[in-house]
Amino acid sequence: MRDVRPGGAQDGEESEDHTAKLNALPCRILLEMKGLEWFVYNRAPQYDWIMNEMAAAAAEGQQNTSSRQDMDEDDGSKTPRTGSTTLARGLSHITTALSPATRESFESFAARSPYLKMLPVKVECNRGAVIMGNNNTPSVLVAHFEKAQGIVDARKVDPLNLEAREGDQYIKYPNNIDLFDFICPSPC
Amino acid sequence: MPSQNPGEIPLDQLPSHGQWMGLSRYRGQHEPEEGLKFEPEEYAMVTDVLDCPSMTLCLYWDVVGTISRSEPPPQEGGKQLNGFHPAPEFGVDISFMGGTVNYGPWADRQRIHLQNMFFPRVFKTAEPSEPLVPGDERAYTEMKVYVELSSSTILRVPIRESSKDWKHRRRLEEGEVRPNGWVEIKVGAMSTLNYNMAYVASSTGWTHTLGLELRNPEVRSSVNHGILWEAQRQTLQCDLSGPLQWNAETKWIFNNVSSGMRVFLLREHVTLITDLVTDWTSGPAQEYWTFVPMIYELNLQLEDTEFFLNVNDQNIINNSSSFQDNTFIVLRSMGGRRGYLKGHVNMDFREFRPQSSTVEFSIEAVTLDNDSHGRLELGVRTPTWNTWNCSLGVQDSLGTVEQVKLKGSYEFYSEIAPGFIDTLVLDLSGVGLDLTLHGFLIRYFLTIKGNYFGEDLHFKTLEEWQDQQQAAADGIAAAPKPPLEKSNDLEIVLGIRVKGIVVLLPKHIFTTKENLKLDTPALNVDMRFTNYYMGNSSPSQAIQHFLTIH
Repeated sequence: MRDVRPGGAQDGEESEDHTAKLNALPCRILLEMKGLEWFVYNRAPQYDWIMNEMAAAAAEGQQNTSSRQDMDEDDGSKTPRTGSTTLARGLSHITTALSPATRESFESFAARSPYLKMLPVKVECNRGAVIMGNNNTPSVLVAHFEKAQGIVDARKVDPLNLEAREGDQYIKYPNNIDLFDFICPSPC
Repeated sequence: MPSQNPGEIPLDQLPSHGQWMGLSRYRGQHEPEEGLKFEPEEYAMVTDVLDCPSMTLCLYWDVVGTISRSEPPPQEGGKQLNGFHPAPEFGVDISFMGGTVNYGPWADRQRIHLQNMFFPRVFKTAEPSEPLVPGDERAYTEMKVYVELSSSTILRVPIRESSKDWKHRRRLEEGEVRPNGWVEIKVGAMSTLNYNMAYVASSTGWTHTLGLELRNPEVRSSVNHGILWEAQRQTLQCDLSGPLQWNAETKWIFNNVSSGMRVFLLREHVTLITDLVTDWTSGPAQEYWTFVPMIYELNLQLEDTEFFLNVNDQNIINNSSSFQDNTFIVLRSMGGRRGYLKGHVNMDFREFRPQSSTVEFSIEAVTLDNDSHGRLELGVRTPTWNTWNCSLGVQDSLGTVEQVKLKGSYEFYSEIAPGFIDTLVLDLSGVGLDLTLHGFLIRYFLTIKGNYFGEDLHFKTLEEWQDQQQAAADGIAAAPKPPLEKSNDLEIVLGIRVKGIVVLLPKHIFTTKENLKLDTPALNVDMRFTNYYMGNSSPSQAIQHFLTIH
């Protein structure tokens, strides 16, 4: 763990029970979870995008740029798409509201951004599972862990990219429980 | 969310509601049925893909800035679309502490289904991304995955062995389970894996690279639970790039550099690797409409390599990598970077469901300077109790060759039919062969033929061999033999061109002090083997011979 600001917990207004514990914690916010189960069974934006591409291909020659622009709005640049075909977005069409001063200092950017102001956030999770897959996949991928802890923090990397990092998600399995497990819903 | 059907049980009345289920939700339903009599089709299914006591995961992404208005705008698209400055980064670093990874053909098939669900393939030609204009938000160009393996991490590849199907074509006993074959890879600390995946297309296509750097890898297998190969260092750089056009010719290049590699190869390892390839490539045939022509190129650079071919009589092997237990024919190239073995394999799959495919390969000994140190050597390693070891000492280098190159191609048909003949063409050329030809060396060459190509393909331990002999003496029927596999005829065309051969024939059995020296400027042999015919032409120059006394 690194770049953790000490004394951040002073801002905390949490209940009395946890005060002692929180004082020991170096982060502003502690997110504690127990028995987390996360089901990942679809990736709708990707399929929407394919539908858009198909529609665009069908209407070839008429308005083949509009569908892309539609896509850019909900997609954003933080969740880059993967896949075997084009990811080229018509970024040149976007005019952002950001100030032209690109060499904005990290500190002023961080002060302006409510998201970065919240950081660092400490995440603790006791027992969690991520289940990936659905009825259409012959098996389901299950990631299962007993204890995970980590810190989400941002730090400066270079003047052009103001970096946010989710750092060091430390996952621990004292009971040696499987991390990834393929389960077949139907015996194959 | 779809509206709830009237017949559906309300959520809060489900048995699992309000109770943490996790993995147990899926566990226990698919235990093997009581008294399963036949092997399941997927008997090499290991559902625990990764079991690890602890791991560290660092996910990072840059918050993007904008393209500067004061600097010259980016000129190029593709990976350079952000201009001169490095692109914003996005990736994940993972490091494992210990743990076991079970990843074989079965797990890979599940991976394909999941990947196709989350990242559906679109068979559409991509366009290279355009350069950004000042004021635009900068764009991520690639995702980086970096994995660090600890010394105790084990990768195990479970394999279905189709070559052993004949043994298991019977009802299984109560509770009996067919064991799967496996290959196990153990690596030293600081071994890493790097994967970079392009997010934007360049004019040359999509750039994907995979890099593996393994320290002290050790590969074991289910054949004898012993070492198949070990090395000091092995790197594999893969270029998995794809062109813009989705169905254009795609060439994947794998560059492997190994140093300090020691290979203990048995014939059954070859069978296991063949089974691994068969298992990995099994599955539904490719559709015509989604077919992508592929070329795979494999380049090998083997520095300080030793190949050990086991020449134990009757293929009796107790401990396959022990020098105190086995006799080996050793092929050695110890020149480091000045003299190494260079291999090249080209696999062409550009045709859709072809009648026949061709694999081209070549291997040559590269020597950068002319000293004899880096030459390819042939030797014999005998255990200390061996008579030859006692009288002749260690015969580490019985022959050297200055230059040698083996070039070949193998054309094989995808179907088996009387008219189809698989063809193997081998062209061996060499310069400056120097060989001390003991009588036992000839015998060992014949043993290689028996152990690797002939009658003793399957190794046995001494105990197994003794049991066999006992059973034969008692008149008990031997264990069932594998049925004859139907296969196409094989035609081998062999050409040998060697210049400057010196063969020393020792005059005495237990000493090499006096030799008969046979010297010939060139040897050309052309041979053709088929099932029905063997042709041979070997016009040879005059052989000089004289006795030498050292």
